[in-house]
Amino acid sequence: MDDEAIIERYWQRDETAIQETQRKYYAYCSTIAYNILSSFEDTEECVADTWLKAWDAIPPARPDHFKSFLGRITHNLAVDRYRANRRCKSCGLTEVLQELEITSLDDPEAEIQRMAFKGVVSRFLRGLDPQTRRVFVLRYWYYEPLKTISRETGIREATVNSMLYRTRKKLKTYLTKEGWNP
Amino acid sequence: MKNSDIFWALYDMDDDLIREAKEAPMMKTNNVHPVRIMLIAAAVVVLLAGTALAISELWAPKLAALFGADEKQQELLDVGFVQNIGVSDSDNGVTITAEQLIGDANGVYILYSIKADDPKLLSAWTFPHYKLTLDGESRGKGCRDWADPGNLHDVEQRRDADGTLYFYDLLMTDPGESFSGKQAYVHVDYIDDMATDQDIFPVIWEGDIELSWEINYVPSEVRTYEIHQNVVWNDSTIQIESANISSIGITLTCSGIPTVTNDVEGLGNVVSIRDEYREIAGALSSPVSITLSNGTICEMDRNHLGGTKRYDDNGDVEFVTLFAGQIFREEAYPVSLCYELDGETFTVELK
Repeated sequence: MDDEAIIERYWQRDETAIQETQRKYYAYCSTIAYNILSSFEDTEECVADTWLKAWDAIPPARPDHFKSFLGRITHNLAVDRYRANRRCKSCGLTEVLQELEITSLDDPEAEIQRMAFKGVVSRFLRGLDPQTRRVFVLRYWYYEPLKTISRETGIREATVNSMLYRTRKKLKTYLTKEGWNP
Repeated sequence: MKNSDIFWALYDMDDDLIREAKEAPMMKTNNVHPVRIMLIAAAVVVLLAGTALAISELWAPKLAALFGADEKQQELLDVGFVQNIGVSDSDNGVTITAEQLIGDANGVYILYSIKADDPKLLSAWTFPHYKLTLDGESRGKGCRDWADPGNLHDVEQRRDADGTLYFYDLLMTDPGESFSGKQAYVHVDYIDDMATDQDIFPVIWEGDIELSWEINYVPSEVRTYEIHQNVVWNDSTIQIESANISSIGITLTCSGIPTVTNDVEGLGNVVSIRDEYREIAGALSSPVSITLSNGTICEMDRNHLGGTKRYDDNGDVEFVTLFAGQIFREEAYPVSLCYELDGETFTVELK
């Protein structure tokens, strides 16, 4: 079933919309949650919550891109759960935070500033070559393990690692130029 | 801005960038040089030989690893504790074997292996779909669960060098029930691949595999402690009434765990999934550390922990069982569990 038809079912409050969503996007959403939480139980709960959030949001929402709409919900729920757990040394997200040299995941400062930097990061990413951008997003939004990124992109794991290192450095330089002051 | 704001900036990345990363075509992986394959094969042989020497024949290596039982610890435990099942069936190029079973008064872990004639068929994310009955009765809600601890988290470790996959099933007993003497029957009808980048899990095998055996084990002895400790969480008071500790796990008997409900009507099975969401129960199965009677403090993380919940007839959480990925012995039994919940630390004393 295509996404528009599924969304239409949400608008008609037809419960099969959720079943169709689960059938089509369980793999996608559960991967995002598992990459962050590294727990099957938490992943299951996050994904079940994703369907309910979608049910609550549509209507009034009519997402243009249903897949990324769901992915973002799962992503946000999983990050919330990760922060609530506060002890998951072996979670995928912990490894990513270490790479980004982030010791604690505090709330972002002023919302306005956060939104300003949202645009900056997206601009930075658009300036990268497509392959580097893809590797960077797979690692720092999907939290895919290096091995998976290597498999998906056909780039050797060591090369993925060095691409990420160089791009992190570039991002920090870019953000500093844009007024970021750590 | 703080350093952590980089995370939030990435978190807010534009939708089209998120979509683009996953929609790009999969690339072919580089071919591995034949010499490298030979070196890897040689290393695998050495590793396998080492494993065979290190682990006694009593426990399957995967099961021993799951519970962190080295050879000495296995010898300390009752022989009847583990049942070697060894029942196999094959169909359509796939063989599934019920390998071993380990149990205590609260339930059993069953270890299965899957082999395919074509080793490329199975990936580390391959999962069989099957039904299990005991004496003809299927095990209902809350009594059966995928085993979640330890090695299952690390999908690479689910797979042997020869391509054999392992999976576990945790089957919880009802209070006072024993599975010994019951006839187990497992029917596997398809296998799908839950690997990451598909929208729909592809079915990679269909067939009929049937396994049947009589369960026969001596449950690990348990110690029961009366606790009667209250934990306040989100304005609810949860009573931890007792703890039941065996060599392989800890089961807390609880009451007052709030049921999270929602007011969305007509969502069918999704509501039942949501109804099982009880965060406190999940937290109780995941202590930050366990202190043993010899003074050792075992720090836990998700690679060592597994847990499940059991529900009463009203659907309320009645028991929370946790597996710490290690064997508890007479000289080193758990005496306290330390938890963190919403940033608060609390301890459950098991004395």
